Amino acid sequence: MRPPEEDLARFEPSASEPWTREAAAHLLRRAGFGGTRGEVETAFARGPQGTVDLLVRPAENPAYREARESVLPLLDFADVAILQAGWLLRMLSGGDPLRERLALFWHGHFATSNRKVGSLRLMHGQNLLFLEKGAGSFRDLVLAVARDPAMLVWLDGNENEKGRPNENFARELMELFTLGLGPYTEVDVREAARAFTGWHTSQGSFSFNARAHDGGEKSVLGRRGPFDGHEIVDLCIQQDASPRFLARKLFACFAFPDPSPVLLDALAARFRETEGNVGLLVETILRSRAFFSPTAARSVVKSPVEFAVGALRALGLRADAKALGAFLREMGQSLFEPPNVKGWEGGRAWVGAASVLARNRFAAELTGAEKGRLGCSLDPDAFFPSSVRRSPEEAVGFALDAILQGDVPRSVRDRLVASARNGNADEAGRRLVHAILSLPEYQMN
Amino acid sequence: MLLALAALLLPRTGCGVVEDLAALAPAEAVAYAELLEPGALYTRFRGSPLESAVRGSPGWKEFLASPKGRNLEKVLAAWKGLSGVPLDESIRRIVSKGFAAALLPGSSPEKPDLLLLARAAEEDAEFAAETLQGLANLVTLGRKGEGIRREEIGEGVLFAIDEKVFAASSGPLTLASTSETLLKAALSRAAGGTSTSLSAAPPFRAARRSAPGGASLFAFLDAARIAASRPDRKLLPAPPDAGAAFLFGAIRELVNASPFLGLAVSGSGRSFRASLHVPVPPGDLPAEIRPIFFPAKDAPSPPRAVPPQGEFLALRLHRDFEAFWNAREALGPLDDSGLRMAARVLFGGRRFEQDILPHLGAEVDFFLCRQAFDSLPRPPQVRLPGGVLVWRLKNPDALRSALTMAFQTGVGLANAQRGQEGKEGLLLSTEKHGDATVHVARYVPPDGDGPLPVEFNATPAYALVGDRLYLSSSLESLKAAIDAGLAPTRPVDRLDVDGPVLREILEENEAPIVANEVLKGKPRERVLADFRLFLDLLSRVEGATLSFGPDGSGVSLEAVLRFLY
Repeated sequence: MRPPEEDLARFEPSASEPWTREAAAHLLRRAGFGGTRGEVETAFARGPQGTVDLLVRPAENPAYREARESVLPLLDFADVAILQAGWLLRMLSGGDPLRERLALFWHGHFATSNRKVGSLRLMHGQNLLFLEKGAGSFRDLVLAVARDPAMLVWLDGNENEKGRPNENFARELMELFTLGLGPYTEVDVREAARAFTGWHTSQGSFSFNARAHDGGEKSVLGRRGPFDGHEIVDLCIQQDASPRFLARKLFACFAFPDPSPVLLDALAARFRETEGNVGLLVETILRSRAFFSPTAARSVVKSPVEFAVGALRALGLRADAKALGAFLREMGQSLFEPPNVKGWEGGRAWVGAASVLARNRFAAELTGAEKGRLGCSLDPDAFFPSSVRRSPEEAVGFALDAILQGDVPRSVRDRLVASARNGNADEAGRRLVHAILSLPEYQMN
Repeated sequence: MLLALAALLLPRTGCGVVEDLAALAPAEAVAYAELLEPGALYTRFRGSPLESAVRGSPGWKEFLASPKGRNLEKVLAAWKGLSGVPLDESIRRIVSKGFAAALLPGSSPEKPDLLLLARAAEEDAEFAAETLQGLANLVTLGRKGEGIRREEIGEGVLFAIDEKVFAASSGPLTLASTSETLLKAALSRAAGGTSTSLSAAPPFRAARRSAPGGASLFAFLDAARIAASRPDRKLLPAPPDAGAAFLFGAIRELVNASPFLGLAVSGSGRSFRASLHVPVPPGDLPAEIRPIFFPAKDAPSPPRAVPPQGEFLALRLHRDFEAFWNAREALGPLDDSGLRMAARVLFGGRRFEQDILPHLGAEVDFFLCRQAFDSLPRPPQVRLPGGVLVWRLKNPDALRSALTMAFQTGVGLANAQRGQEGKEGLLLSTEKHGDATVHVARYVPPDGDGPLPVEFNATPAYALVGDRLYLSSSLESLKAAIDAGLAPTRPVDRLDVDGPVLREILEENEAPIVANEVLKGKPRERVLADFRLFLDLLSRVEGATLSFGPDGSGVSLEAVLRFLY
């Protein structure tokens, strides 16, 4: 086993650890939502560090700008499908994929549901918060979330008053947002809740209600003082458990789950060295040998968003984003409506019987001969170059490279070739792509 | 070359001139539609602003770039190469004097037979025959001659493709069908055969007689025969809910009682008219249903609300609500439990059937109006129209306090909901407008300069003026409706749409309309182009009217589209 400092060392391609198209596609999948064929080729040409440079400082993307503006005139309406569609359009445009990927991470981490908040404007505000602060200081992010109107509504901040503290936010701050289970007591939660009294909303904005605030002495996490909410956030993230807690989650999201304790310690140390800068930690992960190791490749189950957006990007299709949101709901991931404060369970939970069927229906919709709910369908003539259409072997090779970067066992490849020999070229092409999207390998990130 | 050779080989055809294509269709046809002088229509279309709009539209360009569009271009190019004449010109000449389609019962209800009939000008008789031969040759080339059968029938020629599609020409006539028997029978009638034709069938003749003159398109439906093939023996199904029954119940009942239906469509430079005639007078409706939708012949005709300023949609109905309530089981599904509960809650414990229903008159007018939002410090970002309902009451004094109770209860319930969501509610007040006392509920605008949220489109208001209840989502629209007053009008159901005002509203709301389409995956540029094309087309429309009422021998449902030129 490598020492952790080697795991986190920059990945430099070598004969034993070459830089491949599979690795380039892996980077684009994990740091965003997957690349088009052209993007994979560009990433391969730029090399791993050059590609990460571009992810951290992306180029201007007019389609992304248009997608960000698309939802603004509609925020007064009540249909969450509007917000879902707006975010999905941003992901599909390929602009700033790393920040969008982080925003999705934070959406699951600071899980807030519109079912209770009931305001697209507030939920959109939170989404922009994740986009703008999600790659910066973790402290600044948590403070911003503590003052976020959507979060305050979600965790009953407006009911948190002096003499009648509501513990919801304080509990989740410790358990879910900064420390994880364990390194605090019920007394810590109760006392911390007092510090956030008076943190209310008014007309859709944060408002500090001084009359409702408890300015008295509190005893939290071994410290005593007339703490307010800002100081409680500082106390939480200064605990030893906090960097480990967050580093574990970020590493599991971008690299692979359950890093070794030694590696986790190294990550936590790196996080402290960067003064809690999320973007720098994620950049460290993406540039590391651990990220490009065989352990990381196809090690996590794709969430419905990663599955669907990745498929659309790989196939170069433009979908009805509202209908896409509906498909994602069927697959078990309704953006802006996480099931509870813990967000989505993820991992194997994404592939229950119902969700697998929903993924298959989605693949069938994309590859059907007629346009369905998504308003788009694969055109085999446009997808497969003429040079590969006549040969089933070449067509299969092309499709596997384009969608899966060739990452399948020989036996699977052979089955696909046998199927591609049946029917006319159009039917065979659609069937082939449908089969690839349904492969177990394609469900893995 | 092939066409020229075919022309030399084919015998010259000649037949008696058949002016009326319906004379070629069999009497058993359950549906028939005919375009009179389609060639002239097509010539008018070519070079018109409509054609320019279609050809310039992004949708058309997208279609041409698609696989289907590319295939179409290949077919058009092949046709022109073979025949020397563009395909659309060929079709125009074949159908220039008439085109008709008849639907007949086939081997099963799911597989009816189709008969297509086209008549060219006399001077194009040879061209029609050559064109059909050319088409057959094109199909033959594609299939290497397999599946094509050619047969000479009297003075005509018949082609069969896979024994599934049959086509024939005879003089200026071109025919096609899914049934060889039908086709041959039509050819026989063209040659003077004596089998009974549709044109002689009494229902068809009656439908034709009732059609307004000058129609470009005429359609006939043998409603009785089609209904007989349905499990419930009705042409139109039961309405899905009470709302549909309330709006369309009369149409459904009359159509289902009708032996046939006739549709005539005509157009001039300034208007386009479609008229559906149902030969069943209102008096033939069951006694419990007729008064819901039609006033008694000698009943007084109260004046109706005049459309207010800024109106772009006006709906006028005669609906006897009490009669509708009593006959609701016969008309369709109506779950009345919700309505009873709502009435008790809103009207302070009053019972709907006993305390509200008997006082409602039958004259209902509804308007949608553009709002100017002059009373607000700044307009909302999304600008919705105001809706005004004007309902004649039989006994307004009996409902006065009940209406006040309902209005303040409704506002209270809305405020309770908004309070739960942490939002500001509506404030109630009353004010005078002329002699009328207006009850209104308003949101309080927040501080700041940003556009107001969408709920500021609503200032719910109501007033009792004479025997009329005015109920509106917008105080501005309510006042405009009161100012417009009442005027005598014919008692028919009627819907009017004003083109220029509708266009203004759509233009004001370009941002959210375009944004919604972008969210559906369409490129913004394309959405903008389509939206502006639609506005451009709408700018040529003065308005539209849909009306329904007695027409002498039955009832008519008529749609008129008026243009601005």
